[in-house]
Amino acid sequence: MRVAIVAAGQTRFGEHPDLGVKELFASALAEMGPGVDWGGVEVAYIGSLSCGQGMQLGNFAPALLDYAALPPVPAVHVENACASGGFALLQAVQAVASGQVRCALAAGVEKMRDLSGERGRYWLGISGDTEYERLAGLTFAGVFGLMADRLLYEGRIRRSDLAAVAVKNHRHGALNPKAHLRREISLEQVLAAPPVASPLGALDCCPTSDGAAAVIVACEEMAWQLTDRPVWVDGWGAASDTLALHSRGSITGLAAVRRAAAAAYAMAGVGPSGVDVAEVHDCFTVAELIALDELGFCPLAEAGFRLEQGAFALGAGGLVVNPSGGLKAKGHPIGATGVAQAVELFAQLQGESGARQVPGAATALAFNMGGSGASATVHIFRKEGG
Amino acid sequence: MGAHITAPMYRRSLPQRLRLEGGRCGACGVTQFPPRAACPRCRGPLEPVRLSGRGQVVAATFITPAGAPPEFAGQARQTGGYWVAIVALAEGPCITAQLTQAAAPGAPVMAVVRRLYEEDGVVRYGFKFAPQGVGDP
Amino acid sequence: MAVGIAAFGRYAPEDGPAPDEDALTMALEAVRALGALPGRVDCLALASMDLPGRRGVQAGLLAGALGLGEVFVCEHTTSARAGTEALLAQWGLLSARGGVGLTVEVAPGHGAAALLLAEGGGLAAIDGFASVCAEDPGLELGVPDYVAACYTRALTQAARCCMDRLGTGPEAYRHLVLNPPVPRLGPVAARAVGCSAQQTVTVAAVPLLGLTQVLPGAAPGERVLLLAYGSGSACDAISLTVGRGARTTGREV
Repeated sequence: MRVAIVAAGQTRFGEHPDLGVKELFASALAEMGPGVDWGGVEVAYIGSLSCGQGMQLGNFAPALLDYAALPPVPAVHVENACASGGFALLQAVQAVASGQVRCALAAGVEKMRDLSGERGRYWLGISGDTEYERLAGLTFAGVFGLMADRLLYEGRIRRSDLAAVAVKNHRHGALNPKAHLRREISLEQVLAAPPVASPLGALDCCPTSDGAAAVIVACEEMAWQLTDRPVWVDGWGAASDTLALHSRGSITGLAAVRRAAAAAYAMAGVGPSGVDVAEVHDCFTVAELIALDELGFCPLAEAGFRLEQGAFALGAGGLVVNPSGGLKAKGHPIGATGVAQAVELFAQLQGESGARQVPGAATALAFNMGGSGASATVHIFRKEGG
Repeated sequence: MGAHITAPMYRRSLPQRLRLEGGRCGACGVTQFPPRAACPRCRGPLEPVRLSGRGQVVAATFITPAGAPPEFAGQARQTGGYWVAIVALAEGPCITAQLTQAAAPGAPVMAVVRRLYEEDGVVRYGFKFAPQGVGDP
Repeated sequence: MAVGIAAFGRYAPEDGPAPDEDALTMALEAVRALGALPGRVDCLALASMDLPGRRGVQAGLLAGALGLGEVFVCEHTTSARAGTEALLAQWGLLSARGGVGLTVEVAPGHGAAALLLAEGGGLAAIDGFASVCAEDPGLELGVPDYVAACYTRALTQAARCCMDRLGTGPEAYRHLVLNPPVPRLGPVAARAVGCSAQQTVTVAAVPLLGLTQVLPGAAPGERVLLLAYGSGSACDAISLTVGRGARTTGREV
């Protein structure tokens, strides 16, 4: 059964000192615009890491529905670290595809900026391997720093290749009114930024953001009742990997991404070359470089040189990666990220992305990752008639 | 903030943290560290085995105060930062731990027990890796 | 067969211990330097002026870290002669009951020393000892002459008593090991005990760190007089005779 996204909305990502998690959730729903048939929604999946503990932890999803005055349908909290949103979307898509429900809500929300910097770092590390990675004094900046260190040691990337990812994504983010960091940065700025976890500096890392995102997923029959421009979810895949980076055969690859992508490509009947626009999980610059390779877009050995030549950027022609600004510039409210990728691509495939529109975008891919790749989802979307 | 690693949780990991007790698959002979419920290759049962602590750095990162989790913030501030590495142990498995001093990929290292941090009034000890050679038996 | 030192290990980082080292980690390093432990260790004594963490926990943690389960553990603390206190107590226990013992002394800020004691342990034999104790309150106030007088008196009494018991004299000893409360008192005390230029005088932070510093350079048959001062004005004088192997391996051959 064909599945479509029929509506999508997200809050601005960034600082929302006056909005709590419930208000952020409701704001994302409001951003879908009027005319959403809430009576038709039969189930809700809401992704969140639930940072901070200063919020409703038990019965999290029903509490959000309650506040937003949605119908009292079954509601489930989905948690897979930074891939919570991607897995919430996957659950909604699979529920509709199975024929069990005709319409589902997938949402994600995170409230991170109520926390002090120190407590924020506490939460940023809880999805890694607690007993070894964390007890060695690592948060994810350190785990991705290890990947980057090894790639540099093997001579497979240059330091400037990492920086090029940040430069591109900030350029895109500057065009996105919903982005957390709306400013362009130079290669020199990235290289001169204060060190965090060598070789990664402050500008190789995504910010911590507040935000929420939501999409409505419907079966084909219902999709046509709700919109004349459905965005089809034609392929999906998900996978797990070892929790700790050190347990993997290679610390410079992301096997879960590769396996999730292979399943999604096969299901959609498309390959990497058929993708026009992609939202790729770039929590740290090195993640995007590795993902470009694992998703089949570009061998790692070429990625830096191609970025240097302007590839994967808006206006360059060819595949555009992270037109939203990615996690790097758009921001990373953990549970919201995976759903927000779908929100961006929904607009891209409807031709509604304004200054960030990828011309002629017909096929899109979203890749969302939990932790250092212990969980991953890949979704492939197609424009109607695309 | 509640205990990140509770004292009982820490206690359960002492065979690994202080004695590097891993698991060796009786069926296929592959060594795991830390041990798992079963061999990931053949799902055979694991038998305890004490590892030598010798290994080689695979990758290393220097964590500044800006990148340190709160329980290590004191150490990071005091020393300006610390090195963390993935080390390939001589028996095969890789593990993440701090380095007592800078070491590049390929450097031979040896596990030593050090103070990691203190929480709930309980000092957490565990292995770190030091350059191989000096003082080794 | 007499109980003697079968192996020793020593950990004394040149630049002093790192911030992440403490009594437990340095004790482990000293035991590691000692080499592989025998399959069974019956008693483990941890000695240190100060031990981190809650009292009474560290020796058990050390035993656990060494993989020793069925073992008698004890701690000797809050004394500068904690190491000889531990050594003599363990030596007595082993001499009475047999078995293998591990005595570890930590000098906070300096390092640690480990001695493996066993019947027939031939790196060094314990010939005998004598201990004295005096009523010298207020030493911690650091009045220089008073401290010097108390220290010298305790040492000469203990040394004389030990040598009398063994029928030896100062000339029988090639090595003297001291832990004076103030370093400059070392030579003063050595002269008071009757030592001359014939003897090497080793001044150490704690007694067993001094002993393990001397053993690698000592020749078989040479005698060591260990004079450990602490616990107010107590002094242990221990006479040892160096056996084969100490100079080269740190382990009994």
